This record gives sequence, C-alpha cells and structure tokens, in this order.
Amino acid sequence: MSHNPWIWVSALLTLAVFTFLIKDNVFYRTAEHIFVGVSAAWLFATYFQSDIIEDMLLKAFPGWFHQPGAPNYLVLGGGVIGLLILLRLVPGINWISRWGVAFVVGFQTGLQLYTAIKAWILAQLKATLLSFYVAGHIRETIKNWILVSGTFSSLSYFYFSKEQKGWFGGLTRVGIWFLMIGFGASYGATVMTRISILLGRIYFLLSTWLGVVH
Amino acid sequence: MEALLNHLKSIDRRIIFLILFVLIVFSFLFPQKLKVPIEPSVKKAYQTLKALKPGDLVLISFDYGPATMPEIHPAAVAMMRQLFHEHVKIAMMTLWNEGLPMIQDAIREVCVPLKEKPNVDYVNFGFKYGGLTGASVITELGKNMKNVFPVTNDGVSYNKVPLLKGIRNLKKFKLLISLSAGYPGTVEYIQYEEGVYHVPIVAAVSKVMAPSIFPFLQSGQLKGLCSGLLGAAEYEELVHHPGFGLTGLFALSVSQMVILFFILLGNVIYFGEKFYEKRNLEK
Repeated sequence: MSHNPWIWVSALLTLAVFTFLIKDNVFYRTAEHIFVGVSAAWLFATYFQSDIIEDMLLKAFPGWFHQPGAPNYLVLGGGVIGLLILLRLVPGINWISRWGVAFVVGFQTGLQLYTAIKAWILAQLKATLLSFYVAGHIRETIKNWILVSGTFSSLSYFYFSKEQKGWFGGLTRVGIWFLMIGFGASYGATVMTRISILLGRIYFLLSTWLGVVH
Repeated sequence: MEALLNHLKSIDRRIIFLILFVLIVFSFLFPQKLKVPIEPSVKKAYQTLKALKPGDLVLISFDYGPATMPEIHPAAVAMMRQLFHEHVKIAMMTLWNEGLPMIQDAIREVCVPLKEKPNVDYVNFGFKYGGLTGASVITELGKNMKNVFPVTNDGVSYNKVPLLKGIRNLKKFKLLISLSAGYPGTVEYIQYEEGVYHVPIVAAVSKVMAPSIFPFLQSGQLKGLCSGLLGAAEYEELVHHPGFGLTGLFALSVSQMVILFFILLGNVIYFGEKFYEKRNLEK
C-alpha cells in the first residue's frame, strides 16, 4: 500500500466519484467541487503563463526575465486586442469589443479557407480516386470497390434535390447501410474508450494505491 | 419464461456496474497473456519510426489529459523507448494545459531510467495555448519555433539548448508524433502542418477519435496510426516492452465481452417481449 499522501488523496477522490454509481451523495459532490475548483485554477495559471507571460511580456520585455534578444513591442498589439474584447463588460463602449472579435474571426477564416480545403476536401477526394481493378491483388480490388461505392452512396444520401425513390432510392439505401456501419463503429469505439478510462482508474487503485497488482 | 424476461428487463443498472467492476478487478489480479495480432496501421507507425536515423529530431505533441491517459500514454511511452533506442532526439510539447503532467510523467518513466540528458537528448517545451484550433501555434511552428517557445519549460533560452542548435522551424524535424485525444490535436496538425509544410505525421489517438482519423491514414496524410489501448498494446508488443497496454488488454477484452453479453441479452428481451405480445394477441 502506498505511503504517498497524494496517492491517497487521488484514490479517495476516485472512490468518491465512483459512489455516484450508487446514487448522488455528499462524497461525490465534494469530489466534483474540488475538481471544478482545481481545474479553474489550473486553467487560469497555465493560460496566464503561456499567453500573458511567455507570449507577450517575455517577448516585449525580455530584459525583465533576464533573457537575451531585442524587445518586440508588436506583440503588445495582441494584448490591446484582448483588452478590446474585455470592453464588452463596460456599458456604453461595449461595441468596441466587436473589433477584437472581428480580428479573431478574420484570422481564423483566412487560415481555414486554404488549409481546410486542401486537407479535408482535395486530399480526401484524391484518396477516393482508386482503380477498380488491381491486377493480382483481389483484396485490394475489393477494398477499392467498397471504399468508392461507400463514399458515393453515402454522399448520395445527402443529395436532397432529387426524390429518393427508384434507382436513386436504392443507391441512397446502400448509403444508409454504410452510414449505419460507420455509426456502429463510432459507438463501439466510444464504449472502448470509456472502458479504457475505467480500466486506468481501477488499475491505479489496485497497483499504485493498494500495491496488489504489479 | 415471460416472467423471467420481465424480471431481466427491470434489472438494476447497479448490478451491471458491480459485475463489470468485479470482473475487471479479477482480470487484473489473474491476468492472461493474449495473442496480439498487429494491425497494419500500427505496423506502419512502427516502421516509420524505425526508418529514422541516429541524431534525427522528432517532435512529440502530447495533446491529451489524465482522462485519456490509459489509452494514449502507453503508446507514447513505447514510442519514446523506440526512439531513444534508435538514438533519435526528441522535442516535447503540448497544446493542452492538461498535457504538461503527461510530458513530465513520460520523462520520469522513460528519459530518467534510460539516463537521457535534458536539452541534449530531449527537450521539454511545455504547454502553449494556440486557441481552440491551435492554429496560431501550429502554423508558427512551421515558420519560427523560437517565436512559439522562446524558453523551454525549465526556463532555458531557446538559443542555449544544444539540441536545437541550427533548428529554426519544424521543417528540420524528420517526424511529428501527434498524441491526441481531441481538439486541438491530430486533425489540426494534419491541416496546418502536413498540408502546408509537408512534415510527416504519425499519430496515437483515443479509440473514440479513431473512426474520424482513419481516412487520413488511407489518404496518406498520416504515416501510421495507433488507436486506443489496443493500438498501444500492439505497439508495446512490437517494441518488446510490456506496459499498461498489454496489462490492460485482458481486462479490456473481458469488459467488452460483458458489454456484448448485456447488448445480446437486451436484444433477446426485446424480441422475446415482441414474441409474447404477438402470442397473447393471437390468444
């Protein structure tokens, strides 16, 4: 059994959270409140260090932190934009906050336009342009057929300018099957992730805390 | 039979939790070695890392937290062991504030026992917030890394780190390993880094993310993929160093069987009920 008091804190909090499975109780609520408080403090501390200290003050005034290099006062502009967003809290001049928001939206949109089209559409489109017959590789041939027909029929399901009946209805029904298989895989993967998290906690209790598993 | 179905239908969920808990505990107490067939995606990841040469530089981004640690951390540790075995240098960073303790844990688990020297064999850049998409950090990594990390997590100036001598940006790195449990993570690295600067990427992701990441492997935007605890176990098998991945695999299999059993039971109850309803109506 561990002699580290922090391991005990961690183990008891884990057990306190598990008690929720029986019913809502004071142990669970205590653990929940501790988690929310610690998370908020951790978020504030890490974001303040990363954004305000390292990204702004360290670059604008390296001498303050005994770091070499010339000051870069341009980064203070980011701080000013951040302050503009905070003006939303000041009645009368809260409209100025839109300038800061506009800057963020404009930056993100510009960046997304080029990179998203390339990574999400062009590269994926190229990856579905496959040969329907790969000489000497029957598995590869079947795989290509499944991939292309799955992509095409699934996309057809989302084409709403034509009524889904007749041959087109048949195609979209194949698409639904592919989509259902996809959703099933996603559900299975979600269960697997949640179970893995549970395994991690139980292993921690048995190994790090109690020391009965090595 | 009808009464039994009705009884099973109203089974208390806490009994299911208890069965699952007890079986998992027993699986850890009496583990069984399972045969681990290696998925092609994991093999590709292993081979990509194996192809690196001594002295090459790799960036590992730890974009996950304690919640998904059981799934991704074993893969991270196994990959780091392999890289150090091949005498490859490692730079570590995270876009998640929860990722910093993950880096520190990996250093304790791998770098310290292997006696790898900080700032010479590996460097810890720590956490950098890059917005919800991580875009501002990821794009800048491809241009000027010093702008993103003027100092390491230990406060050492970028210029004074021997490992980073002559390294201006990510283009000098031979590989990027994205350990990701959500956003920002693998998807953003593919979008902003692979798509623009063409840095090869290998990923280890949580199982819940895997279905959305696999298309990038098929398109060649990823050079290898390790997904979930199973992927981590396969990687541990490849590097011949058992860790939580292989330890947890038996418990994972048992718990999956329990869930499958209850899904089947639910279906039996559903169809059984329909059968008896129909029979009672006919009567």
